Amino acid sequence: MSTVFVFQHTLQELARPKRMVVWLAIIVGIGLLAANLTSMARHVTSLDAYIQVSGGMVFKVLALSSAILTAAVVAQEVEQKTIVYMLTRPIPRPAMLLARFLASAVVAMVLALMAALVVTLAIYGRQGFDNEIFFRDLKALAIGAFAYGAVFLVVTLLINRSMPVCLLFAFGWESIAPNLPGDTQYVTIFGHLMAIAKHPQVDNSAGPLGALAGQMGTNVIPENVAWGALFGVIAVCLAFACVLFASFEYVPREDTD
Amino acid sequence: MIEIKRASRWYGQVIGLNDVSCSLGPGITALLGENGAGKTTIIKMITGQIKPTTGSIEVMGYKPFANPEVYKRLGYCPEIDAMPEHMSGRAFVYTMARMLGMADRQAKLRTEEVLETVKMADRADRKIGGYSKGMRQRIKLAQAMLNDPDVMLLDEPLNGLDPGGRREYMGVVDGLAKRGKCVVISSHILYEVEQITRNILLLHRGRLMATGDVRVIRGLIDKHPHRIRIETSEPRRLAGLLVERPYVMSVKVEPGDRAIEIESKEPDRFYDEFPSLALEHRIPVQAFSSPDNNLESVFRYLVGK
Repeated sequence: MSTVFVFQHTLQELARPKRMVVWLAIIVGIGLLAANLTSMARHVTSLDAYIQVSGGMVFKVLALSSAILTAAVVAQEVEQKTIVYMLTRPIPRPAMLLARFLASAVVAMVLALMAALVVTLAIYGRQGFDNEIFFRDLKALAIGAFAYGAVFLVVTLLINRSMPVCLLFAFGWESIAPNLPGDTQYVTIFGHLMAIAKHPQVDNSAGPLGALAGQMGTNVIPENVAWGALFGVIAVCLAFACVLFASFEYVPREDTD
Repeated sequence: MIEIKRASRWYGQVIGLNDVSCSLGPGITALLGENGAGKTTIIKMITGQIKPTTGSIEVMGYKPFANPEVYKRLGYCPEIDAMPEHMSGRAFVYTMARMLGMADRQAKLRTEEVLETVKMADRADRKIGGYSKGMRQRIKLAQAMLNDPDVMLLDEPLNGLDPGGRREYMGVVDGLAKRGKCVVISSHILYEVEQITRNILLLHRGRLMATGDVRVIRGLIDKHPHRIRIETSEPRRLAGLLVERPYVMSVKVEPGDRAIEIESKEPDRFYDEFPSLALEHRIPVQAFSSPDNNLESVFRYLVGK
């Protein structure tokens, strides 16, 4: 019962209106960009626009929201020194960690799904629901929220002030590696998500948005391998995070009295 | 209820606690020591936030580190004031109650009970961010009492409380002790501790220097003159009045005629009588402090320096 409450409470905390305003503004901004992309550049078809905005922005919103929301699971509590209340509750630490992680992953997933919905409506209108790629994107975004979250959770438990590392991973490695030739995309989360989303190679994909969408490389990961790899990453990272958190000692630097 | 056996704790190269052994039972025990003495380290070990580097700790028969069985019967009021600033005191205490496993209705009822006990029920809907230090102390105590714990740890709980608040706070703690609970209170102020309990653990630089009755410590302290500084606009008149008192050994008017410093071998008697003396003779008092760190004197005595 306590663990369910921890999940509900964390969900409430992460989805507070004050926190959500910024995310909603970003999603609206992406929607506006998507709606105007075809008119802004010549020869850009609706499919081109969708693939580039979805891959280049919606999946980045997923990575960014995962990084920020996962930080709230433990790292933020440590920084704000409120973790002491969490650690002295009669809830097994792994259960506490997983409940909080689940809440953060759900919020990140909902934000990404909302962004995908806004983009498809902005580009295709109601016909967007007939778009097969949109539904594949939803599946990829859903698993992606948990995969990114699990990786970032381990990073936040291992490194103090881990946000720069998470952001570097999300926007550096995850943007560059899928565009590289060879098998480098196997060691990215984005590469596996694209294998599930199966975004086609589109024309007019050169440029920063195309690069962010991984359009400069060719995705060679089979879909079933991608699903297996992502589930594996989630399981291994969460198990490792539970082991770390179960042995975690909270010692604020100025509090060694 | 609490057994500490040869526990030591290192923070890298720094020792926080050095080979401490003791057992704590029902009633109030005060952990007395200066800043850096190891009080918070002991409390963090008992609450299972950190492990001893060597030695062992048992709370109600369990090793406390990350042990839910211990937390079911343990209440903890941390020294740090950090709390979720955006939440109201009531919401915070309710959240803590739910995390203790209480159902919604029970958590609401218990929240109201403990808020009444700490006299915060009428102010608990305000956001914690706007609370004074004293209000935060009360809310911290309220959340620690939620599960009617058998072991209660209060880390510097009287910091920031006004005299009335201290009396109320200690009344609540005393009530817990009278019901057979084990209450551990840390403090670096001897006079504060004396009003709470006679049972103390005296820590100095990570070592347990003395245990037992606070009156033994009091005896040691009374061998050292106690200095008290009083800021007043009439220092010479006050000095004249004080020098007549048998418990005042010396009076010095500070340069600038804005304060005096006295030495007393009976500080308790001084503290008892001074307010009425000041009122009777209409002496304005702006500030009142003790620059003399008595614990340091006692520690020097105990370590034979």
